[in-house]
Amino acid sequence: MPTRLTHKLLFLLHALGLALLTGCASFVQGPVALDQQALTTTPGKIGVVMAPLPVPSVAIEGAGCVLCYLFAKNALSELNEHAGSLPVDDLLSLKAEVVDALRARGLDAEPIDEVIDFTTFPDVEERQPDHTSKDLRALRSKYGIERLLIISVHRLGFHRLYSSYFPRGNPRGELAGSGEMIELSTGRFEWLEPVYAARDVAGEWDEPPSFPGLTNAYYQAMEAGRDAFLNVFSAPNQAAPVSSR
Amino acid sequence: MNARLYLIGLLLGTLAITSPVAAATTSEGIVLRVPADPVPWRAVVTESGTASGASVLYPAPSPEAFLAALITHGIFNESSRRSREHALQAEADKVLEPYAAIVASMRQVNLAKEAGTRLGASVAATGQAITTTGLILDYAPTYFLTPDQRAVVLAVSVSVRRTPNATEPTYANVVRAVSQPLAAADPQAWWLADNGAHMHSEAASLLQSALAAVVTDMQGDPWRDIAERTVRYREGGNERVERAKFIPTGCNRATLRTLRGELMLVPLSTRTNGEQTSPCE
Repeated sequence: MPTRLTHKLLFLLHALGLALLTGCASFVQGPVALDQQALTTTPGKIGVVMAPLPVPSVAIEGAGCVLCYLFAKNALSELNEHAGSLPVDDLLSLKAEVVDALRARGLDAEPIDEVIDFTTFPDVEERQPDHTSKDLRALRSKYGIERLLIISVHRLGFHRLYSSYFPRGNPRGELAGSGEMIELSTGRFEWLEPVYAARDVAGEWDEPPSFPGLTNAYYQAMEAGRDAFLNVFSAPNQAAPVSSR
Repeated sequence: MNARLYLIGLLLGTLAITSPVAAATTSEGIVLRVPADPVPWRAVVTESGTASGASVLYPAPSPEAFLAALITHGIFNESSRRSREHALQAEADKVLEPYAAIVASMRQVNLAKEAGTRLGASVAATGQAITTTGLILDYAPTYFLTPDQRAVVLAVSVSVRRTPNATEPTYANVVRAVSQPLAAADPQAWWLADNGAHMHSEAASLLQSALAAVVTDMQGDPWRDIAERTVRYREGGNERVERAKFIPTGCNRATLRTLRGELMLVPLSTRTNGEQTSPCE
């Protein structure tokens, strides 16, 4: 059982790796809709990996100066502390559920339980649009797979919008992540999209110390995020619900 | 053990919906103190308020001005939110227009009598003196129709007193009861048929189930050994999610205790893991 610190380090490592895969600021990689054809032809075995989950927290957006941010952070400190105590267990089965969804479509899919450190892979010689910046071909032989599907949750917990010092609404339950599928022999993205789900609290939100209304919104967002990931693979002609906001 | 007793109690309540024989859930007499008419009906609003609005810049030359700006902003935000909620509710309520005559003719006392018969409770009309002892239930129901008109939802706050004039209730809670999703091809025709007999019957059934759940809940702590979980349930054609303690009650239904301690009586979604029971029909 990893400690919370180990968990955070694993998450940061993976987040850094994913940033390297999609490239740096000089190369803007846009989203890539799921290539349904890649899944209807003979895709070979698909390895499914899930990034370590983040520790839930409160994301503050729009508090655009240092003092504003500190002001907002202080105002939400009790909620942030509560967020950190919330379990993420409900999402642990997501990888297996994605594998099941792929298998239900007649595809050969396997979960990969190791955390892959993408920073250790060599850079490609010349970065192409819709291709990774790393050469991941070594994964083909290591896991016997042709494609790698990466499920990542970058942010989990609560989110509140600010305009400098002033809140612009109630906090919401939130899950922000992304999904990627990479054809390993070429490094081409066959899917690269953000997945976002947020849910409002029903009624009053400021109910310390257990914040029951917001906590419920947290779990609702988590389920909506799970559905968003799974819906991508459950129906061949259905558009991916990248946001339920 | 407590959970099992609770399940039996709720099962009796559920059976009472389809049986003309009253099922008493307690050895104490129950009196329903009827609220005043009218019977409030609203539509379920599906779109929740979102965090939105333009960026705001307030001049803050001094700490006092900053504080004033902060208070102004709070008032402005709250007012905007409420006005948006009212607008959404007014728009959603249009779904009730075909039912206006039925809703207007509904009487609290009729619903209470029907629910009371099923519950084995007596009914005290508004203003009527209560002389019996037992559990005296004061309640304030509001009914909702889902936008697809496939389900009726009852939200009711209930307080229980053991003597008619007690200032503080022995127990108080809020219950949200959701009807089974309607499979009829034309739900509006179903509800309107027979001068709204189905609508009236569903309203009374939900009231009876909600009051039965309260009576059962106040007589012990059936939730003590039950862990919270995420439950998916149906609200008409929509699927909803609630984090709650969960007791399945048969017929694809469950009673939930939410994180706020409120009760919910809901039809389960087929995706609620491993807890699906076979339908009654």
